[in-house]
Amino acid sequence: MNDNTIRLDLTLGYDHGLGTFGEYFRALAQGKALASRCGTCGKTWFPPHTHCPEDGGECEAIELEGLGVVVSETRTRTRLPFTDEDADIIFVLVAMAGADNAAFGRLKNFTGEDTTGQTVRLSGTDAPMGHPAQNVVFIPQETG
Amino acid sequence: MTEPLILGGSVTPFGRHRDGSHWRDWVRQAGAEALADAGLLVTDIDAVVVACESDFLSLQVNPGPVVLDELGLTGRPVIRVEGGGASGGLALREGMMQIMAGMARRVLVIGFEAAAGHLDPSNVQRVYGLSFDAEVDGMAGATAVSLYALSIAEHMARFGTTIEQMASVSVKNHENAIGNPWAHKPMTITIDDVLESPVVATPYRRLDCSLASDGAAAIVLAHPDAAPKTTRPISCITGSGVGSDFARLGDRAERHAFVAKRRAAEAAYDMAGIKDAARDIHVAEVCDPFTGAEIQSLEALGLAQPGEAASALADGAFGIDSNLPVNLSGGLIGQGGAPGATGIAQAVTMSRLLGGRYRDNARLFKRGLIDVHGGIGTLAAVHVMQRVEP
Repeated sequence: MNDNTIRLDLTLGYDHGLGTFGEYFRALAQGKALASRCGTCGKTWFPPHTHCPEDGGECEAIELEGLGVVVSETRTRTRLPFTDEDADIIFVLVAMAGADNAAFGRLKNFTGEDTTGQTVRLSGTDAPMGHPAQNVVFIPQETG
Repeated sequence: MTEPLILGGSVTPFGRHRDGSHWRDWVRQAGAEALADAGLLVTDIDAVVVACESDFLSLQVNPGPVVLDELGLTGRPVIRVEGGGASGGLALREGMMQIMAGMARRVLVIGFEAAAGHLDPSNVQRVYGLSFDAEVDGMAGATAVSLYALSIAEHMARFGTTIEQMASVSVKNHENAIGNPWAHKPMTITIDDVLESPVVATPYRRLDCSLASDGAAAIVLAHPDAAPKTTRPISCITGSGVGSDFARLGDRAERHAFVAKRRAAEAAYDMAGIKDAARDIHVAEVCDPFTGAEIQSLEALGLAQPGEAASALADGAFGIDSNLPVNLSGGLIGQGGAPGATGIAQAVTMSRLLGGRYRDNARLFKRGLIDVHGGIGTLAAVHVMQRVEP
């Protein structure tokens, strides 16, 4: 700061409507994977869309089993939106069984090296959250 | 078809301005210098296009009329254009369309961003996290670097792209920025320096990343019938393309590639009559917010085959003395990234390269390409420019 600079602190509080995502977020909080299937092309999207982004077809809600495979990962130290502390996080894209896309989320309870190709299960989280979208958390799927 | 001429332009130095200056100061400087470079007065301008990504950064909603006031252009039509990191390129296209449609004869296109010294970096990161599908991915924690990292991870898995190859982009672009008076981060580094810099989001390290910068850039477009006689080579825009992709990276079938940019490039090449970009483009300024993004951009633009850009870059195929130099300015990595200004700064750089008056570069280029995108390659604007003899 120099003598031609002033400090301004801006705090914005939003009463933020969740719109049609509300149902998806409430399902996430229960560990459920609520997806959408296009009535025109049949593609299934998780997270869902109200209308298919490819052809505009109306989508219906369907519930997926909650299993998926990690298609890519990145490890970083960051702070989730509207939370107070930095944390070491593994962000991932997960191709959910029954979906035609991949979901952005994060992993917990992973200690190994590269998780790409591993089977995971949507679990939700007990950790404090800044937004219900932060419930897209995956844990290892036990095998055998 | 009318091909708008670029009469002149200027860029204020990109950097983290903690000197007490205001973005209005940068806009005033860039605008005045662009007009002087074009040999025009403010009274010669009949429309203005303003590019600026975020009012969270500038603390100015509706910046167009403020920019007009600063430049002495009050009363002219002004349109503000925003498309994330593509804002400057989209503004250039808007100015171009106004001229081609006959709605204006001389247009000032001006962009700015207060992205570095105004708001603290953690809050800038939070704002930029809203550049994607904010409700679904942004609120879940997605940041620019995490999404780009997930995308390049798939490129690495598919093609065997290595961190050393990506590091070579950082070495090249930081080196290219040396001597560029507008550059935020000119320096000589080695591949080891990149690989030993702190991890930001694997596989990206600090020196793989561009910097958020403060800065402004302005350019003057004119209909060929409305351009003053000139004794020096100038340039014109022969092709313009815009393309888009799913807002969510996870929705894409080709998450390793910039499909929006491929679409934009195809449209720009079609308009410019280019059949083989790798042969017909002679110099390029491409969007490189991260080292891997330059690889992905070159492939999307058809300047390298899919899976071949990384090795070509590491082998020097896009170096300063190559047949197709890329990011002679330093790109976003070396020159810096001020989103509203970046695409316009690219056009200024390219117009000077084509006009044979870019820094001490003695090479003459006939045709060049500029490319910016917003989001994770989500919205892309590509332009083809060509040298015009006096």
